[in-house]
Amino acid sequence: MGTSVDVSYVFEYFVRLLPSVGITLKIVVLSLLIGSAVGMLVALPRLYRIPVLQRLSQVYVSFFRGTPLLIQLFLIYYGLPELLKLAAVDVSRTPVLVFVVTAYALHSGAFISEAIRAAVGAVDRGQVEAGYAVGMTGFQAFRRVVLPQAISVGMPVFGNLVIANLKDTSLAFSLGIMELTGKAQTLPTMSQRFFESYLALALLYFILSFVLEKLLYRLERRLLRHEAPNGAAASGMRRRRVKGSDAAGRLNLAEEGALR
Amino acid sequence: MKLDPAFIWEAFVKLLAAIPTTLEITAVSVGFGFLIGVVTALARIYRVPVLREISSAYVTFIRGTPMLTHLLMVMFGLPIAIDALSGALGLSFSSVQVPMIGFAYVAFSLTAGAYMSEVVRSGLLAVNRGQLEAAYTIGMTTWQALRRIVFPQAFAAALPNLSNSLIGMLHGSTLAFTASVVEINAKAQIVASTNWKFFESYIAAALIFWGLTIVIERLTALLEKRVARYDRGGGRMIALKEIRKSFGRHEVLKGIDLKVEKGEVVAILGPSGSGKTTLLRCINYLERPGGGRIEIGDVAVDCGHPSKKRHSPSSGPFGHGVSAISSIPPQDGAAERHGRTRRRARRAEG
Repeated sequence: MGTSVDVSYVFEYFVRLLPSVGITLKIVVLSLLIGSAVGMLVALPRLYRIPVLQRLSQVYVSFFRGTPLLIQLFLIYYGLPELLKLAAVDVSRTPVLVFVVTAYALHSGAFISEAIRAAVGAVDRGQVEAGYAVGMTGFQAFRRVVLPQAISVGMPVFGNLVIANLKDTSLAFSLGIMELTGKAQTLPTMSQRFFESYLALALLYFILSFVLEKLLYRLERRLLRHEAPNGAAASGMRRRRVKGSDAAGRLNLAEEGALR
Repeated sequence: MKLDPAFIWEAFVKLLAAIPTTLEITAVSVGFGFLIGVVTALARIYRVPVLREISSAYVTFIRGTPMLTHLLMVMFGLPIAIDALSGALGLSFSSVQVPMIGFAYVAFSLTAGAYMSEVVRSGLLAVNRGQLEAAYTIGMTTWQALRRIVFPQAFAAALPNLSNSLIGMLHGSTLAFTASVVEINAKAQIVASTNWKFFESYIAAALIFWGLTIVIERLTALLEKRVARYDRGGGRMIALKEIRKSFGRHEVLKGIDLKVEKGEVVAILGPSGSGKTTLLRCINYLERPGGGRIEIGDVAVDCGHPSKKRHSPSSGPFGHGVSAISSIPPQDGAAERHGRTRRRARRAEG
């Protein structure tokens, strides 16, 4: 460890970290895709109050929101092979990345299911009734009327989940994945310039989340296009309405629960 | 290898010893984080020149980077700073003397502070602006208004987010293993290192965290109920419907609607002669209203058909618009909810 900070190392490490952005983003994208599917599956029984499944998804969400991600990572890393062995599937040669993505997908699945529930709950009940009134079936009303509205309402929450997921990928190093954080820990072994390396790492994460946030914000505005002729006013209006509704509490929960 | 339930229990018992460390880290980071959060949130809300920019940059940076990087940067950066400082001052103190857990405290407090800043800010902004104005109206100073009126309400509004931050920091404390602090997560690894039953020991760790989280959630729910008691507990105390009152041909009250919830404090403001006292005297029936309906608790008094005695607005000598209170439902800004107003309002009435 040096006795002063050498800025040139920050630049050097920043550049040398860049190739690892790929694997971090790979984890983010894969886990969010699978997580969205999981979240949808988990949210449905609770939305439609299916007796036993409803209880199951409640426990699932409570568990994955109630335990630290790091613990979940280890649980899945050590536990999943055991479980699969019972089903006569050998995963001893499966790359670690699969377990990591599984853990992240299950983790974000729990948060996404809450976001979906809140967003669907925020859509006015009268919308479904209006759908029925014009002769739609339950599924049609959900797909054509509720879902498009729910997606735009839930977009800010989902955006926060994406950013949280990006930041959470920093834990994957604990299972030996060479993503950004893992790389940043190995780079300075020769120079012992650890602080400079971590500073570069933090800057890189910051830039990534900043860019993601901007992209998501544009997407959000596009989805809320229909609200008012002027985009900025539209998002403001929407936010206020969501805050007032009952779903607001839950929306905020999902948002803040993603803190890490 | 099969699942060994006996070892889950064994690990569970051993992990209990690590709970205090986990809770300590959580409590310290949330405690200091809250202080940082209040200062940075106030700096941003009140636009304090330099502090505001620093606060914004701090919050944006911390929220945009993973908690792990904060810990790593503090762990490797703080010693450099400490050693440079003590070297410059000629002290014998060196960073080696700082316990590892100290770095975890500093790093996690910084992390929590940024998230708390947003929680505090949204809580403060959730309080209606009129509340502060109402407090000024009755002569409170800014500090009094903040302490007595704004903070209690902001706390109630921020409670769910506070609880989530607490849970977030509880879960985040698992990162302290990076600083070789033996909290629950590190302990789970140590417990299993002899027999490689990692799955079992992590199940035990997960159960402990799950339990702690549920306890925090339950306690928050209780606290929320307690804090929100004034809001839902009472129900309607006083309800007025289209109260009218005329003295001779001069119509003072032209159909006043008012609802007062239990525990709510309402101030009635208006220029002299606008009918404030008349309204109050009508409510307690010192003056007999010319029309409308008064409900106090379970007792309802009908004072004749509201529309029967309706005068046309221009029938009085002053036309309409003289009595400032008429037709303005007092809830809309004229009357606000807060403590200590009633006495003052009464005094003002004379």
